[in-house]
Amino acid sequence: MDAILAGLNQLGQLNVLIALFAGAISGVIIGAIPGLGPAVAIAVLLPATYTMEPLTALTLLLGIYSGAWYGGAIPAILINTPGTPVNVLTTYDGYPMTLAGQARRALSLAYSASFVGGIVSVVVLIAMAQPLADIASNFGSAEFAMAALMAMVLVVVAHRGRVVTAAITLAFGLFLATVGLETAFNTQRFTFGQVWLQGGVPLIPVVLGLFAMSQAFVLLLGEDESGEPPRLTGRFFQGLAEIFRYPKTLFASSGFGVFMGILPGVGEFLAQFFSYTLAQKTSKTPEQFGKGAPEGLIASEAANNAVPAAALVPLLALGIPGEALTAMMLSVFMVHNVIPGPELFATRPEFISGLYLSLLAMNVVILIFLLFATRMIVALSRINTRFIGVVILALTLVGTYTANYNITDPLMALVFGLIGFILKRHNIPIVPIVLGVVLGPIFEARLRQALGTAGGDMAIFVERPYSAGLVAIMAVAVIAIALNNRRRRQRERIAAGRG
Amino acid sequence: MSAFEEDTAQDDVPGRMIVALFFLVFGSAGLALMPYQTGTSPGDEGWFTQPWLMPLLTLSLLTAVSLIYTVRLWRNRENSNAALAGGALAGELWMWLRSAEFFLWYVAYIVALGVVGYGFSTFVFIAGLGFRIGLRQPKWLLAALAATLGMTLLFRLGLEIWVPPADLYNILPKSVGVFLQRYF
Repeated sequence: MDAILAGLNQLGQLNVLIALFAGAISGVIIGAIPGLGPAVAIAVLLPATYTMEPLTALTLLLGIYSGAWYGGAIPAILINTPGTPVNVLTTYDGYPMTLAGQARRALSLAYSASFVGGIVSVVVLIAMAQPLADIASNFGSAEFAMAALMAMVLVVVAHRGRVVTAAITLAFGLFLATVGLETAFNTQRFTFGQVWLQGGVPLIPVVLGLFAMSQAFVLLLGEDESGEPPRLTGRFFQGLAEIFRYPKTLFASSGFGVFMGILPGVGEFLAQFFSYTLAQKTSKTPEQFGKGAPEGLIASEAANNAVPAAALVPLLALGIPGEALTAMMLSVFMVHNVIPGPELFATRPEFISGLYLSLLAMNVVILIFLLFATRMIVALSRINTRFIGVVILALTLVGTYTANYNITDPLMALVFGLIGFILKRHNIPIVPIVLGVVLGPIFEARLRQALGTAGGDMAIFVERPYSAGLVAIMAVAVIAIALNNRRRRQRERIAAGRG
Repeated sequence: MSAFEEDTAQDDVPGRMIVALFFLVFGSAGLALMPYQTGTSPGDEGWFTQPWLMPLLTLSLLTAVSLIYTVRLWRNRENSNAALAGGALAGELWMWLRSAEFFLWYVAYIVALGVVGYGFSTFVFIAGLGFRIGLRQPKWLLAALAATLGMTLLFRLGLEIWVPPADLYNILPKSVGVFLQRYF
């Protein structure tokens, strides 16, 4: 009870409330503009949040993260263009409903499914983070090293169909993390005698380049993809309660979202894919999927929105981010010398409670905002995407240049922008680079500590029960994907033989 | 589609081949430079404390996986040949070069920041780059103005981000210069 009151006290602070409303509302708007997306917005705002209190900064960033998935459903449903990449499956059933004159029904179904997914996710975060942190309090360096390694392995494995390229970009990110002055022995690594490289490759230019600038280049060199918004037809509040006619789909999809959110690197894409597939298989009318089935819409949106809060579970409990957006948030913790992990729960319970309550309040604010501002947000889908590209590029200046007021940071960001642009053009994943940059130093430090304790004996990683458990999870993940590949190859060979 | 095969089953193999070769050369060059760009610890604390350990692991991984990817792309070169015949590689390289143009625009923007201040340089950047990419109707000038005002309000007034003093403000009357320096 004391923790809840302390959390309410934190949430009641004016700057936190402003961040809550600003983050939630701007998140929805950002999500509703095709081509923008939360990663761009968070990358742009990240340097500015370093001067804020940790709870204020995280509330703002989480508001954008959560709000964008809600907002991304609007253009997906109305103009068949997902506002964010994770709203792709929403187009399958949302747009046919719009064509059938049920746009408002589709939107309200999406909003309420998102809301339930979001709330379920926060409840699971509250229920799981503390117990997981309690378990993590028994962790030593060996366990943290293996947890970081597991996050890396799962991130690669989760890039289904792009495992090799994900491994390349992860290795690239891990290497970037080694550049600079190595603190244990003051050894310079790959600085080429340059003073500006001694501090290492900073995270801000990397994320701004890879996410914001590369996206700006994509938009600038592409065609304008903005569309004419259709008239909102149908009854608006019809879908709000309708989702409860499909409780199995609603809660199974939310559960998938939560589970996938907790696993490093998996996230919204697989969550919505599995949820949609399951919903179709268990539906009484599977033939309606793709033609305007409410269950399809619910499955996609509930799963997406269950991910953000769940993704905070490993970050808060272990200090290990599972994907790019939480990796950026980890930097906010680090700047303020707040170390996520078991100690945070013991030393800053008011911060944890404040974060939980702001996540709950955020979903309510977003839902209310959407119910009354949808008509206005719809107009945003008409913004010329090339103009958005120009504005994104202009927005990045504040983050790249004003962080240190030297020319090297923006130039570095531009280089990463070009790299990100080229990788995106070839569908090569960029998220592993960021995770490599963030997880690399954690892994190196913990690996040294663990092996130092064991006198260099690698057996320490399998002798300790929790560490051995993490190693087993990695092994299962790798074996599972190898077997899956083998089965597919056999099937393809058989199919080719028949052909 | 298997987990590994989609990596090479695209029709954009030439571009991917360049990316793969870039990482392969990057990793190999890094490994070759390791004796000169890393060091060894002075004592005998164990191999795991050596500063070269992580660069060695990461560069070895990068080189090995890039090599695997390059070989797979090479095996899949029928797509590559077809694409090359269609001039896809030239088109791809041209696209990369076009993105480099924005590099120059951005550098000019940074330089202009110290000369004419944040607000004015941002307006010129948005309006100028917009014009360059074909947004040439008067409404885009208004849109650039609106975006500039929004960004100035957000960063300079809202978040109070400091930017270096602009040369232009020094030649204006002091009160005007101070006002512009503070808010624009």
